[in-house]
Amino acid sequence: MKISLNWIKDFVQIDEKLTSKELVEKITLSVCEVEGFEETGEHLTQVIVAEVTAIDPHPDANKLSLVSVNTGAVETRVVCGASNFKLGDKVPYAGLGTRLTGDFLIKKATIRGVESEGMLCAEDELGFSEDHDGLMILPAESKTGDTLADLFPDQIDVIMEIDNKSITHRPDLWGHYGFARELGAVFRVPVEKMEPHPEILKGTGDPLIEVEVLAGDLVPRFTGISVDQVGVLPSPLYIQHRLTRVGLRPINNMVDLTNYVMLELGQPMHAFDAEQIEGKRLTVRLADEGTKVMTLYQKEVTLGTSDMTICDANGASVVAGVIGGLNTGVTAETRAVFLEAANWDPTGIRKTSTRIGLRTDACQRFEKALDPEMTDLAVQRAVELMKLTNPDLHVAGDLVDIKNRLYDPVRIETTTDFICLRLGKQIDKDEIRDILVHLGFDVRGEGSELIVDVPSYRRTKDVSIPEDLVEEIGRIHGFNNITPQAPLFPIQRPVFNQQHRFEQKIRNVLSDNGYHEVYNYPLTNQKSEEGFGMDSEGVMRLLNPVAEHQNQMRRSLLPHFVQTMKENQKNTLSFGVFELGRIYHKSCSGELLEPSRLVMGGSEKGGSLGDTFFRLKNDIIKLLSKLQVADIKWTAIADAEKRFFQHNQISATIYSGRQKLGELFAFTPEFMDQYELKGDVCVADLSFDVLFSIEKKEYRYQEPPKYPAVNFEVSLLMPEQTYFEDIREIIAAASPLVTKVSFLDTFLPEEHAGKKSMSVSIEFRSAKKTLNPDDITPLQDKIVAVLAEAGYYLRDSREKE
Amino acid sequence: MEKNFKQVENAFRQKLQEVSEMKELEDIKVQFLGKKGELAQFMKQLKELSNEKKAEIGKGVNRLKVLFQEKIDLHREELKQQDYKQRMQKEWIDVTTDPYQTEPGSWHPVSLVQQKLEDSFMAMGFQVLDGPHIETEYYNFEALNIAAHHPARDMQDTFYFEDGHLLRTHTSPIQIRGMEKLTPPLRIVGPGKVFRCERTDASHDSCFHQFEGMMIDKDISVAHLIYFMKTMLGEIFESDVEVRLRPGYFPFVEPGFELDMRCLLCGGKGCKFCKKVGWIELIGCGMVHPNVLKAGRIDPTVYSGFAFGIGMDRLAMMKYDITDIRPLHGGNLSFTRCFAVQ
Ligand SMILES: [Zn+2]
Repeated sequence: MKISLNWIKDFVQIDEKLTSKELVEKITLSVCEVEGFEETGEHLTQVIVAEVTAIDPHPDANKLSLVSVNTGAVETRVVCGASNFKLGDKVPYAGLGTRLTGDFLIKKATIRGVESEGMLCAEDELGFSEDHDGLMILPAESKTGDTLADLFPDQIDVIMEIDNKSITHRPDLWGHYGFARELGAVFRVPVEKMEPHPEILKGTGDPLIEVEVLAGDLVPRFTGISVDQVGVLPSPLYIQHRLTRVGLRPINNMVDLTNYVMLELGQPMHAFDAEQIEGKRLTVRLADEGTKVMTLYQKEVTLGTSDMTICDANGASVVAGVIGGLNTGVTAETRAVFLEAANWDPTGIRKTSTRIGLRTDACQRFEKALDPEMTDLAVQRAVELMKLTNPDLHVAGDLVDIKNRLYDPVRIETTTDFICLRLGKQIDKDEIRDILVHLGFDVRGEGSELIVDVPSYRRTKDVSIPEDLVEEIGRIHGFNNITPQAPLFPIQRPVFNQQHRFEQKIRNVLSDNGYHEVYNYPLTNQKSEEGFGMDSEGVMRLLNPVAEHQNQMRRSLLPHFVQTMKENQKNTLSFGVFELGRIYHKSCSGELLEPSRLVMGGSEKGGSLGDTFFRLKNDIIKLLSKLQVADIKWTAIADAEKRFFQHNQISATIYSGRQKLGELFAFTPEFMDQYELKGDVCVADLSFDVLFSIEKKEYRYQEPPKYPAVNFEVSLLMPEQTYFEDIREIIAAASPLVTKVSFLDTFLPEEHAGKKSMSVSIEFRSAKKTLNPDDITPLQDKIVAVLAEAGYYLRDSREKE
Repeated sequence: MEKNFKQVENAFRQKLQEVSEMKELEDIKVQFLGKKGELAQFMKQLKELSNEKKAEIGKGVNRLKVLFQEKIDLHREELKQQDYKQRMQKEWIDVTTDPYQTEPGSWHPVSLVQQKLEDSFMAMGFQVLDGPHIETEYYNFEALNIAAHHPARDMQDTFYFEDGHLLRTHTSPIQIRGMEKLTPPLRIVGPGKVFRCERTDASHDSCFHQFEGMMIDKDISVAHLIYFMKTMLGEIFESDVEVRLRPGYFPFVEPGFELDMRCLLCGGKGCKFCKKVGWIELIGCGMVHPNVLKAGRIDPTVYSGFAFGIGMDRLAMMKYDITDIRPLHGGNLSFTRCFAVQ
């Protein structure tokens, strides 16, 4: 919203020594956010009222003419391209060296062989409007030789752009008068009162229009007046210029004055053509379902039963609080008007505006909960402005003023001590009272005691409790005048967020091992999850997604994560990534769950998928060690549990004891093709929650073994797809003296087709004695025997085959 | 005899000069000092000689023994040194290459910022809390004094689920959950993901990250809030920062503020980064609204406090010169690799 400083100055005196920058800063720090400001019209002090004394054709160009003008001091001649003027007209003349809007400097110029001593200006060149259709013709009574700044002093102004979001809670700041009141308090100077002048609204005869309000609880107040003997004319220039400066296009006196009142007081108004109101009667009520209204914008809107309308005998004519109707709107032929200023239920207006997709200046204000006590003032101000163009207008009948539900009075009882305590600064009692009074509060009470009555324009939603007064005093006194003060706090035993510390450890280990942390959106869609075999069981679906591909919560990190890997493969094939994040679903019992997962992925150029698997496996082992998760076991995923996208052979489940931590796997070639993955890709999907909550192996000192270990190596023959883990379990179970079983290597011996040879190393150790050959030989025999029992024979003991 | 000593010594010196390998040196040692070596031959002759002669020859042999041993030791040391040198010479590698090249990994920039914030706040005695992303209207709005018809509750701002739940639009529900769990005096922070139902552009995303904080005790004031914010920002930006408060509206605080920090790039003169105003809008904060304290089961007539919220994405963007918020999601490596020193 644009705010004009001159307009504010209609109501309050502001120190002329203050620069625009200082003033803007004051407003920013004490009132609301100013996004920027512009100083306008400074150049008009150099543009002069000149009278056209001669118009001669340009010798060389049809469309140009040579215009002689009298500038009061001298006679001069300029080349001019416009033709909308005649001898004796007063026009704006910019002499050499004048700087116009847009930093346009007037220099001596020769146009088609004729020298031009300056320029005659159009409205846009002077910043009055966007109009470039000809010269600006000045009023005939203007004095030749005066500057345009003398003629239009209001045009030298400061226009501030207010951030609308910063005043959503301040209905009183949606017009210039509200800003005047604020500055009055900031500078502690008086503000001109908006007094009711009943004589302005005193009518004779019968009102032209009768009004009936139904659904009164949605219409706190409805005020209106009938006026006839009016004509539709252009508004006075200064009004046109003001409206233009704050971003509105002047149209005619009727439209302009309703806009002017809205920008001044914040109260939107509507002017009906009284003669077009069918039945001479307006009914304010909720619309019927499917009601259609042709709006002033010549666009039809359809209403529902919660939208408020103003109807005549022909039906709904106005979408109340949002937009006027075409049929009863003011036209060039209008001779009598009904001026309406109402107060609408803010929530209803917001809903209607959202439903029909129209954000007008009016509804933007009504939805902030405007002060219902200003509707009559608005009507009065409108009639006053109308008299500027129609001095002989006639007010027909009395003011229509229907009051239904005004806001209750608000009284706040507090103390100056409380205010000072909350602010953390000792502010003088008198200053506190003075500030409140300037802001329009009624203040009583002795000493520290404060009994404060809140003015109507601050009580619709803004001010109701002592803390609200703390804000009023703080901002006007200046929050930045408060000296920072260290809070005194008792020392408490620190409580750490262990989960975050755990996350931090994971990030450290994985990034140390070359993995990059990524974030993916927690929102996804069913199609993407179906690609990973998830049905819609337990899914949390959004009612109002922004995009089709983000309409439900993810139940696995994998789909987006695989996408991330695929996208990155376009640039590089060799990388590692990981993501720590929540997934979301509803359990069968209806409980909302947000478990956390950890996914890791490795991509390699291609060569050996197994190598990629083992590299990831090794990194996971390092991670688990750092996380102190012990008793780790890796097993191939059983066929029954394998999901369709998991590689038939290269997929493992990771356990700690009996607790499943997650899986590490490659994808099937078909899946790789489908998802356009290249090279060798493996991913791990682990449960963060299990990792975090599982019992950790604490670091403990252990005495070094007293007696030496003895190693025994065997090479066994077995089917090619035999797992070491199976062998290990058999050997480990053979004797408590087996303290370690390690994998050495495998190879495919030529002489045993379809079999592989696996070498393992077995460590024997006793805690009680040094093992001697008498102990070891039977142990070795036993191990060979249990292996043979399970079908695994020593490679070099041919006799057993 | 004299002559023979001389001859043996010369022969020894001659041979030693020609030695270039350890093996040859050992051969010489055997030839001259061995049990059957040259010097031993002299000793064999001793029996047939007079005592006087014996002493003389014995003396001569001993002298040579010592001399030869010294020379051989010296030569052995030289050969060793030569050998070390040669071995190292052969062990040349190109130390400027990196054949085991592994890539340094990285933290997500928002994780980096979050860690920094958590560390700072923990050092200042704050407890770090979490909350669910899927929230109820109560925790996200009602308990935070956001009225039933407040526009923030509209479907155009908030993601709703079919069952009436919603995605939290800010981390402020953590305040309520924290107050329910703890008793004052309390100091809590809560980082995390938040969601807004809006179209994305360079500075807006439908999912972003906030860092919430709250301090409650008896008689906490605006002066405390300013002190605290200054200290905290000084720690985050590792320099003395100038801050200012201006009125700002958030239903859960009263009074509410926007906190600006003097632009660190231009020192307040105005630059592109601070949009020429010299100040950066950084934090929404304020004194906790009495209704919010009540919702947290804390008596507002006894306690007061302040609360604040920081956008972590914006902080990360400022800290690392990121100009677009969108690459924070999606994990493009050309983005993430910037957060590891390659
Ligand atoms: Zn700057």
